[in-house]
Amino acid sequence: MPPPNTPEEGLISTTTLALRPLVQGESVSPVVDLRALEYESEIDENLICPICRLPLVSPMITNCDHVFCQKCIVQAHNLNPVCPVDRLPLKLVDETRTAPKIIHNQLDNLLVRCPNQSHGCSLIVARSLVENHVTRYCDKTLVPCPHPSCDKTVTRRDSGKGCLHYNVKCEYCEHTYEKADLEDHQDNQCTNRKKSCELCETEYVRHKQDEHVKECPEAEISCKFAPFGCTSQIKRKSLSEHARLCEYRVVGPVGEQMAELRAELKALQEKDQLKERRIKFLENKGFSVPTTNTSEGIADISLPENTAPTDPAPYESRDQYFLSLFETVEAKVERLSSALNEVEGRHSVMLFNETLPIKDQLTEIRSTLGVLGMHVRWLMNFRLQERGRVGTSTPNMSGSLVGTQDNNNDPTLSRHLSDTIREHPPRL
Amino acid sequence: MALSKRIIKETERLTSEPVPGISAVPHEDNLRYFDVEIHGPSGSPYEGGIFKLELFLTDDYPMVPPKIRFLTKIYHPNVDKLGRICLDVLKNNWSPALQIRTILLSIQALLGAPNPEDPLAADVAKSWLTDENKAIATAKEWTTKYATPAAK
Repeated sequence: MPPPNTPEEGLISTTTLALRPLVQGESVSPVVDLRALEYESEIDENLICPICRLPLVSPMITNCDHVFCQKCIVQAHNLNPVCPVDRLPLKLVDETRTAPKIIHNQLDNLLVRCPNQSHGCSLIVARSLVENHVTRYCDKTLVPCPHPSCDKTVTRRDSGKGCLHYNVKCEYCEHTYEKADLEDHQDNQCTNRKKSCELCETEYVRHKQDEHVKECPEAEISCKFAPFGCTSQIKRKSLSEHARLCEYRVVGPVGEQMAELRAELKALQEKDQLKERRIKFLENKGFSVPTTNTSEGIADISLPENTAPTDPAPYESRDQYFLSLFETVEAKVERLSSALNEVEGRHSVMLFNETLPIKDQLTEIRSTLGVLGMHVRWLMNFRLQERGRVGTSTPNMSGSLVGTQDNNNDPTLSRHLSDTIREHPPRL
Repeated sequence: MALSKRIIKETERLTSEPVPGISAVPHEDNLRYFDVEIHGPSGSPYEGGIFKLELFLTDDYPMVPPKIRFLTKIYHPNVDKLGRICLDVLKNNWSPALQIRTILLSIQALLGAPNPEDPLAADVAKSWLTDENKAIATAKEWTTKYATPAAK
């Protein structure tokens, strides 16, 4: 029996799947062979395929109510077209269908071990989730080597480390292995992998020496009171005993308190410094305010220069001086900008106030203009009508008025004019 | 392969919950080959006898029936001189849903109920039909002679 779910086996199961004549309602995973899985719990007899005697995989139910794995019933049917349980004639296409959902659900909930158990994954998971685990998350799944020209596989955990398929020599047994297999070799196989500790005489795996050193009971380490002056090196196993007898144990608690106090002091000092700077800043600002009141703008700008030489003592360093200078200037700029804003606001209000009456007047003038235009048009109309009336009442007296003859000889003009007027009667 | 997983399961079950009067033990070097012993059913001419059989699971098992044969000589109308068995479930009526244990139970039942109408050993069947008492006596005799452990 090969170990479950070796890659070769996965490959075989995929090809057989592809060859099957009937493919429907698939829950068979091409990556994880559900038949090769190791089931964690006792399986109900009703969920076991009568043919392969394993928990059903993509169950099919016959018209005579017997349930089989799809793969099994297809295979059995090819040899003998009857139901394997009751031997009634069976048509595969018409008389079988996917088993009810409840059976699928029960099967999906069965707990299985990760197929990479042999590689060290100890996860137990519902059967429906095992493929997801293996294909996406399991650290022990073999994935293609990240190196493009290497066609070997490597566990997912090591896939980020680049191609590990080069030969290295095991430093303990002188045999050559691929880097990817070296750790496993040194952990489990190398004949020379164990080493007994020179101090405690227990055996440990060589390449885990660092871990052993950290816990070896015979290794000598310094006393926990070393910071307070104890210089003795004590074996780990007798450390607690030494701690009880160490001359410095009396100093221990005091030393601890001292360290605490020192830390506290440091924190307080820092706080104090912060506050001092704050005070300097405020003092400087407060000093500048009365000056602004007494002197004018130009004097105000040169103020810090005046202040600095007169009072250099409060500043501990150049940096601090410049910082406070900067802060003062900043405050001043702020003040100026706010004043500027105020002036701007005032100006705009003033402007607004003055424009408003002008606007009113403008509208008034415009309306007057409209009325005037109206009058003019009315008058024009009136005049034209009158002239027309004169023209019709004295047709023979054409020579009486010089302009009328022209008018009569050019009817388009008169019509045009009257038309224009007629066009706009509502405006009048 | 998955199907050999079925064989492993069947073997495990045969050992953990054996069928009364039947034992089947796989060979260590070939797990498809079983040494079988069937106790003659009580009330039959074979009572008290322990019959050895060999059982072989081919590569196509369970799609094809197991090959099974009596090793102990037995006077039975459905078993020939070579120990071959005439039983429908081992031939046409095989179903992949059957198992080693069910087949062995069928054979045990066949010992309890010989079927001379569908004979394999023609002479045995003939004497069974003509003189049943004599045939049963012969069967008992053979059982004592070949199938009783003390006689061996």
